[in-house]
Amino acid sequence: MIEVHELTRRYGRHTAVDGVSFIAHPGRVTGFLGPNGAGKSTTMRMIAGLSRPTSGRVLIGGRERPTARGLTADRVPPLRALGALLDPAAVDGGRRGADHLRWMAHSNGIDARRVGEMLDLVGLGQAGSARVGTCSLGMRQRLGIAGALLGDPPVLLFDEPVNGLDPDGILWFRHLCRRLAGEGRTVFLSSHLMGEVALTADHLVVIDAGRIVADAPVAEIMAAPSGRRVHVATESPAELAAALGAAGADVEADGAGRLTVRGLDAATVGRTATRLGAVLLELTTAETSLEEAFFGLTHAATDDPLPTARSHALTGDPT
Amino acid sequence: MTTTITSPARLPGAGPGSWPVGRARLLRAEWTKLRTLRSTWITLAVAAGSSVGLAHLNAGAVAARSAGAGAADRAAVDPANTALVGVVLATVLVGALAARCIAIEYATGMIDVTFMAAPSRAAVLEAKAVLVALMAVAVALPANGLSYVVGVAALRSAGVETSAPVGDAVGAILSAAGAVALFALIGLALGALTRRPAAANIALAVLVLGGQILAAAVPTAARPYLPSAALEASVSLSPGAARFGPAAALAVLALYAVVLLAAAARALRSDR
Repeated sequence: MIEVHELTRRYGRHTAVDGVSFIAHPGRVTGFLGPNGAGKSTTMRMIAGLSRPTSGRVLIGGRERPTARGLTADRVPPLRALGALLDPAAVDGGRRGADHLRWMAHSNGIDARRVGEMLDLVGLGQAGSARVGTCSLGMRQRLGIAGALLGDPPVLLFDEPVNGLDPDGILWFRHLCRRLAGEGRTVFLSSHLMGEVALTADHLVVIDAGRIVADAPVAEIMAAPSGRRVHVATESPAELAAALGAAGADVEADGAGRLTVRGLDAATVGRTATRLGAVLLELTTAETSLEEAFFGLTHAATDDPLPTARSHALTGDPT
Repeated sequence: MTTTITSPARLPGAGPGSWPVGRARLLRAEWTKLRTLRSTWITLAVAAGSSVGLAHLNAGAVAARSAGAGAADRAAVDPANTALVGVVLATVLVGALAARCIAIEYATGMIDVTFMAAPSRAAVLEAKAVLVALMAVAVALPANGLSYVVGVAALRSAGVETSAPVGDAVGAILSAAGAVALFALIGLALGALTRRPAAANIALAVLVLGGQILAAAVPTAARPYLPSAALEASVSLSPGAARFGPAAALAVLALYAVVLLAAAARALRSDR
């Protein structure tokens, strides 16, 4: 379990993380979502014990992180308490992948046989004997994931883990996360790719401009206020809008023959148009995507006008 | 599922008394880092090889210069200074190796992985310091010994008889190895302070080779305290009037190493 309490980090006058609190529970995948510069990586670094919070604290499995001054605050070697992949480029290119894992294993008293096992697990196998400088970003991602798993930790931290992975790799990683959570581990992964997180995570923590703007199950965030919509384009929008309104729908017209209908499904909209004799040019159903929900959340939190028309429609903001 | 993520039997806890256990593990981990880079071995081989090669070349040059001189001048040839001329290059190379072992971690970001595995930053610096110093001695001692033998043989074959007592020769060889080890520590500290291999190497080169650059900037009385002057004095059997003896010169270098390492330990506490 990761418990984050009122975490704040300031750099001079800039507040990168501002009173952030949340809990990532064991047995599920918690996605940490936010646009670039929202404070994701700063928060991740504080959780990993690499960056000191200005105030607030982080507990991993109910314990404080080992401090920079003592060797370990408790008797659990650090890599056995928390495994993390923060940056796949953070490897010396002159060293073989297996040797990179080997020094990590030695530093925490982990049996060196784990090195080969983890290389196999992440699909590197023999590629582990290649010098890291010759490896692709995807291979380095896998090496970093192997490093995170090396100490068999109950808590796993992944910062933008699917960057550089090919579609097969992304699918593999999604299954791996499900499996790790299934084993009762706490899996915490950050991303700015909302679609990816929606498929992997059970729970989402959304951060924007250093503050948490949502902390809820994925399903709840997907059920955004706007819900399901039907887009319809017709030669007689005024008549159709009136008829749909009479049928109980909430209708928005854009003045160019297009209507956005909430509260009725596409079939009902189609039948209504047929009864009226209105010629339909387009009839589509739009589901709220996680992207839209996300933009809605971050937009609402910051009051920044967003440049895309789509998000205006989503939040019903007339500006 | 072909591989299990968990294999609890192979993951012993740190157990009681985790401090010494942790220190031994850290030494082993840092040793693994050093030995698994080809550049480590190449640098050490070049340092040792060039020491011996330069001893031979320099002895020839010194002998040629003294050929026309009188017997008194020939007797004044310092065999240690002549044969151990390669120590300067070895110092730069080993110092750069030591600087790299921490600076490259900052440059790539790998230092984060290191500090996640070993949160005590002072302990990481300590482990690296122990290893680079031992490595420097392990390479410099035989290289210096061989350089001395090769250099003196080249002087003799050119007709320059040197008459240094064996004890003095051994002292010079040990002292030169000590100087290389101290510069390894200085290099490590510079690597930790600059966090960039290139910057650390420039700083190191100025300290080792920049005698003339720095000499212009300091009063005459302070010149023996410059690292480059102390390095030179540490490998000399016939110190001039204004210079330190080898032991005092090593003490000066040790002071630099201690001060810079203390500053490095402090600097490591700040975030990347």
